Amino acid sequence: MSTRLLVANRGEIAVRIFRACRDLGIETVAVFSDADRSAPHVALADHAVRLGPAPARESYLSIPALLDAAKKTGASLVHPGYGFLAENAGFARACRDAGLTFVGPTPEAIAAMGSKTGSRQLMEKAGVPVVPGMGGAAAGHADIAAFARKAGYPILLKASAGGGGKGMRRVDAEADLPAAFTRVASEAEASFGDGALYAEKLVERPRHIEVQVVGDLHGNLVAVGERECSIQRRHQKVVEECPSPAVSGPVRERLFDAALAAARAVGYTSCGTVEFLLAADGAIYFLEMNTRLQVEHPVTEEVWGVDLAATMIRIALGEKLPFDAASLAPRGHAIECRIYAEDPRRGFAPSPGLISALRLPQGPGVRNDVGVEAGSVVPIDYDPMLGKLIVHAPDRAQAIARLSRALADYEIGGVETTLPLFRTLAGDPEFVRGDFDVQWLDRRLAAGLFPPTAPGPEEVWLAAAGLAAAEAPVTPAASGPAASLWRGTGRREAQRG
Amino acid sequence: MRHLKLILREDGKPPEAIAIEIDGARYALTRGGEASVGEVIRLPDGRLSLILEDGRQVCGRVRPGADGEVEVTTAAGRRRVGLAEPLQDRIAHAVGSGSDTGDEEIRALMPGRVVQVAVAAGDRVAPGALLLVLEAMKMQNEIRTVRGGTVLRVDVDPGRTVDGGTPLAVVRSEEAEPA
Repeated sequence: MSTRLLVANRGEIAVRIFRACRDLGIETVAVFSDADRSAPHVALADHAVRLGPAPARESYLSIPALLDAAKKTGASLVHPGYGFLAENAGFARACRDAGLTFVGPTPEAIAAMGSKTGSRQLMEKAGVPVVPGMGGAAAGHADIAAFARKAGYPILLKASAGGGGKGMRRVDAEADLPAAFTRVASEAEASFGDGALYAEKLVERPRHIEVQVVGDLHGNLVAVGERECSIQRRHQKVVEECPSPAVSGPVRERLFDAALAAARAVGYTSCGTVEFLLAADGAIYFLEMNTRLQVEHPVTEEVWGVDLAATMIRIALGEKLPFDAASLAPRGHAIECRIYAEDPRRGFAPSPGLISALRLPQGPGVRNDVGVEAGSVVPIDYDPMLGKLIVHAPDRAQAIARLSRALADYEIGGVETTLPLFRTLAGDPEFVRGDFDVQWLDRRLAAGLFPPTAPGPEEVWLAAAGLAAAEAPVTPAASGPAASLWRGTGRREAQRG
Repeated sequence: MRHLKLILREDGKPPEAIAIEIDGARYALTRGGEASVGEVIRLPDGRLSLILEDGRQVCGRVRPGADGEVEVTTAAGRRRVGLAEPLQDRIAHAVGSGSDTGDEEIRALMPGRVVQVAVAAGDRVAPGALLLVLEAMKMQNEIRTVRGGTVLRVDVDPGRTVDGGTPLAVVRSEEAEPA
């Protein structure tokens, strides 16, 4: 029987991993909730199993349902994608215990990097620079006040069990601390079931730079370039680039060394990402390690010419890394935009619903990783990311030009999306210069990124023609004669043989 | 050959009348006294492609809304254009349109000349019935009641020239009449 891989996920990442499976000759198993029976990832798969009702807890987060699905379909590999159970050590362990190969790092590595305080201590021991912070969870706000007096304000309050930008709060003065502590602790309790908090010094206006690492089961470990992820909205990445316009020789070397040391410290054996803050003075600080495939992995794939999704699977199957540091060479510049069903003009309110039209950009240097199609309904139950637009060009300026071109060709009808945000960004002088930090977009949005745009005369023309056309059918493009011509040609070709 | 009249509303500007004349794929649009001609076809995916006389081509999807607005999606993104037929425009922008009862006050949307008055005070009129005809920019605009009811008064006579915003007539809807 051929190898089968189950993707414990949905949307564009399930589609992405299925494509890697096809490239490798591996059979695919989709899982789905009641909200996703007609989703593209299901129709693309060789096998498909219903997990349960729409709520993630009863479907994509249900470990027993996922293990049952693997058993039923004879899948031997399980890929978690990102989100859902991707960084859940318990799931990785449950797969191992069930005799399945988890496509990812060991449960031990996930657990070691899963605790913010634990991973900090581990990193300090491994000589990886960390932001000055508390050694462990705070007993109360007095603990945090004592730390802040030493390190100096501003500080960042963080949930020990947090991630993905949730459970974080900036505190500028001791007077604000008690209220902030209560608030973040209750948020953390509600989001992660764990109200433990710690604090660290806030590095002002830093950039978010991360390093892709890939390790195999034979002791090989390689850093595959960095990614620039400073364009964030409320700590959530929006645009990612490879390489970073702010990183050059010596800083890159320090980043790679620190990332490899971090991965080695937990015996990392898969694709993973080590995230850093880059301060204005060139100092780097370890943030956390994401023990999974990242949303933004395609920019690395484009520039470094590697297939990270496929490599991850080959590593899980016991193969040696197909490349080493010496054989890798970056080429050009790539930019990714995360396209969400959110209305950027209305505070990024989710915009679920029917996708009435979908026209994807094409042409040189354009890649679409998309998990929906025309006629898809964006469910309210999950993350509203529809897909990613990735452009690749010989340098950053040309990549931005290609991004503008691709965005002009991109049409998603029926739901509001973040496309207008990217059209604005692609023309923003500071973005074009690469002059930004992790708070840049939030500041931009607060200042009003979208001046109301009045329709131009040609848009009025088109609108008027459209209203008139709605009453009198417009002449369709002449396709009849051309079609019959083709049929005629076909007949002649057939007669010739 | 078909004619269509539309009212364009842009922020900070008075309502503007647009005339459109259709002859097959040939569309002639008159706006602000200036006419331009273009060829309009529908693409296989439902979008419209417009080629103007100077060769400029614009392509986009046009979705009429119920609120007197049209959504136009082109390469520049999505824009809302305040554009509707005169009756739809008045429904969308009628004073007190949030309520189904009360007086419907009809005002001139643009400067023009009253060429016909079709009703008199006391007449009962159905929703959408013709009240009067206003000529503006060489176009005859039929002014109709949105909700219908009883004509309370008519403020103009045929031949009178009016400014934009001039009250023309008031129609009291049935429900508002004292029992």
